[in-house]
Amino acid sequence: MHAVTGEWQNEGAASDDGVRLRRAFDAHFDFIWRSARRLGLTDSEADDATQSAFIVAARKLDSIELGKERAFLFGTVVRVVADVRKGAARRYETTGEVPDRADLAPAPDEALDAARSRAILDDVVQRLPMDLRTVFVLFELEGATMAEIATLLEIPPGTVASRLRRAREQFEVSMERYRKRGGAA
Amino acid sequence: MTGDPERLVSSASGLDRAVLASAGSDAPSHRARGAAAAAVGLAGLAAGTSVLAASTSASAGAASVASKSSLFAVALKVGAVVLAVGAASYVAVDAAVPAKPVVPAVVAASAHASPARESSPPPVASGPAVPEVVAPEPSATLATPAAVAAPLRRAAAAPATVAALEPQPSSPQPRSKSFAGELAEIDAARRLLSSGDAKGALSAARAYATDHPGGTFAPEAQVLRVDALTALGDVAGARAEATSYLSRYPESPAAPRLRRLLEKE
Repeated sequence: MHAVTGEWQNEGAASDDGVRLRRAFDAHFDFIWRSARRLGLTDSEADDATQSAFIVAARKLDSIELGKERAFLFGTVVRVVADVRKGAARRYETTGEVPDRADLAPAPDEALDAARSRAILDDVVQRLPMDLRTVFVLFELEGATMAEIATLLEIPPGTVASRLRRAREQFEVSMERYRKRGGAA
Repeated sequence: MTGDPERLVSSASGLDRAVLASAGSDAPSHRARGAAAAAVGLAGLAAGTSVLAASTSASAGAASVASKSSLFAVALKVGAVVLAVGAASYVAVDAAVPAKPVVPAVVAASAHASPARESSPPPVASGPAVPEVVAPEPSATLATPAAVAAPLRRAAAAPATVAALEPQPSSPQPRSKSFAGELAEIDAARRLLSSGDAKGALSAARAYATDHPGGTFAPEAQVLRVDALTALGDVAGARAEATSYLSRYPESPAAPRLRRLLEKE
């Protein structure tokens, strides 16, 4: 099933662009999907957003600098996520209210199951503005180094550091709210 | 970087830690990977020649329009293929295709066999992932009708996308500032070109430039104008657009093709 060497050679003969796209796909698909998911989409939304990102990359392959495929894909998926989340974000902004998600209130003993933890993470991360969210997700969840993030986002390392700091502060504030709700529940 | 702080998931405890650690299981499904591979035309790569044949025949109409120049035939072929992908996806969106995409077995198998699939991707930006030199001439990017089987959006909450599908010329505002909107417009232009409506493609590509100065797909729109003008036999117009493109995007990988075009005649 994984013996694909011959196929690779055929691809090379058929299309260098095809090979380039395929390599980018294989190398970055998982990362882009995780990013979409962690930046605020549901599983199925992440499926679609990742697909969108690769469609865009495929059609813009000519204008993507070699070696910048990952950055391009990431930038694209951030925009797609922002588009999809626009509606939800607007609701947050107008109400300024934590949505009623009593089901997320942790049990006092914090014996949270994974799904509940994941739901809280979604909620907390989504409260971060996108510029902080990307840095937070890349650093805290993806395990990227600050230098890697600076390269990927094409921003100065100092900016990465300050965004991370602010993201962490906001993360803490949101988590504190959950902890309190948990205590009161 | 040595100055990186410790990850919160390592230093936190209790709820914070549980919450952060919960992201660890995030992973796309095989189905999603297969559908996306199909949508960008990668699924067919394993099938090699048959896909190439399909691609060629799919773009035969477009290619014949540009019989004067093989370069443009190639360009149009790429355009047609991209269009096939884009159109299939967005038509799927438009039709609000319900439920799960049906991934043909071939697609799933092919995606499954991807060489790099088993290993996790490298850390972020750990270096150029694609070392090979860009092809001087784009050869046909392979697409398959399987793309049709991969609806883009099942989620209802994609207002930007939906709006983008139906550009509203009567609207006082620029059609759509959204990324998805621009995408849909450029797709429409490509669709026209590959269907042989070079005139329509030209006006769509011009409308794009007017509506989105500095838009995401401005370079693509300009290349489309070059190709459309060529298809219309307006050599002077095509050359002017190509010249303008080269002055704006001299380093673009599409530049060599246009440069050769200018040298040719």
